[in-house]
Amino acid sequence: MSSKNNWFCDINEYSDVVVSSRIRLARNIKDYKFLGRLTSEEKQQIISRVRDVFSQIKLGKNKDLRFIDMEKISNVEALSMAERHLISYDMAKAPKDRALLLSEDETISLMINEEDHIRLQIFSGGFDIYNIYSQIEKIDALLDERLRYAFDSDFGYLTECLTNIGTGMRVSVLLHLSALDRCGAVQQLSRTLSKMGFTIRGSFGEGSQVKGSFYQISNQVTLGLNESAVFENLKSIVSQIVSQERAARKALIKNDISFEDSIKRAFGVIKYAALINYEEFIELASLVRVGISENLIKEIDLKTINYLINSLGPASIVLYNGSELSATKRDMIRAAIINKNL
Amino acid sequence: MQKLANINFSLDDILGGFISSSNSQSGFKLEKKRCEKCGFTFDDIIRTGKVGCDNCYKQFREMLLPSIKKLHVNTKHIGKSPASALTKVSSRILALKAELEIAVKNQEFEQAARIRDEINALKKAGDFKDE
Repeated sequence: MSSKNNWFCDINEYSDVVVSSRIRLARNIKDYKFLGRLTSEEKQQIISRVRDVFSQIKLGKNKDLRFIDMEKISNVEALSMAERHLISYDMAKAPKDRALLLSEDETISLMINEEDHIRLQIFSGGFDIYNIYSQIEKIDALLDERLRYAFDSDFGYLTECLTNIGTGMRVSVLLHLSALDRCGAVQQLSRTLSKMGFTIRGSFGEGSQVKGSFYQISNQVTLGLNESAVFENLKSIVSQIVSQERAARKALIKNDISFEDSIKRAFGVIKYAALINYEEFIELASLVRVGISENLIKEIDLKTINYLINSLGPASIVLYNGSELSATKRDMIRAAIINKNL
Repeated sequence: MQKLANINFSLDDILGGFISSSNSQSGFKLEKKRCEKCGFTFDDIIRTGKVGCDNCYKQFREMLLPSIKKLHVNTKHIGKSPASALTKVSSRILALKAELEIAVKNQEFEQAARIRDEINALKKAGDFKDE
């Protein structure tokens, strides 16, 4: 189980609304065809070539990369990583000929043979994309120097899917839009964002079943815009959303006693429940999170609630326990962990 | 939670269909020409929704362009380039320019000034003209 020192719990000025940031680069090695056209042997060659790049290199304190052969870890461990956003669910479910390089502090995750030869990701708590980019650029340069990327002066970095060519870069921020969601503003936001080349989707649950009002915003377009233009647009979008969400929270608390009531009840439930399933917890944690940022709840801080949100998925609970569990037993352990942290 | 229906729109299927329709609208005839590096035909790209290798982008450039135009803002990459695609000096300058932009954004002006000086020195040494 991760700890409260995990990046997901890092707090900065936007943390009441922005839970975390991520940049992901899609890269392919010039010498090889794309993944769909490779034999198992060639995929293994790629794994060892990427691994070799880092065998002699120190990336800094807590940044040393651990090599993980996806075929050699348990399905539960892989799913727990996906729950904590470190790898994709696709990677967790189909481990064949795939590997991962993961930094000790779990901020750097390099997926090998996921959808492209290389999917390099760096994460941070709060809104921190400029800092992440300066880190990711260095590792990106290192990889290109040793492996030589597939690149075209017109189409940029070449990827297996046409939607990723150009910068090959996807920047995402995880937002907590509890009040805007309650006001029904997220749908409208979604239309505006898509006109600006960004997409928004629920981070827990899908479609109309989004849990806890956690949404991920990412750039959609990767060709024809440079990296800094994407950052600038995203920063301006995020700062506007943050101020609107903050204003909506204040207005709701002032004018709608049922909002304050549901926040305080949510805290009561997570504090005293003996059984709590993951979806219910995400819904309640979302309300508690608003309560913390609006000073209605003082028994727990943002860091702790982030930690709980990030570490209580079903697979993570099983991993923590050490053996398979019934759903009821999982819900019991989850409730106990929450209780211990309040 | 129960799903309403078992409908699954795979991105690959949608993209494949998308590439195919973008192409027929542009009046290209589907060819059986194979990519020299990976053996893919343009049909294969449509069927799988995936490009076979970097060389496919060269070989099927004209046929892919209509789809790329629809998916993206533009068809010309203007972001950073990997050092391996550039000469040594120009790549260093490009990397520094990117760093400079970030330093300015972060309001790290001392750092920005240092980077600016390094760029100028490189340009002078390599006799690069400023754009």
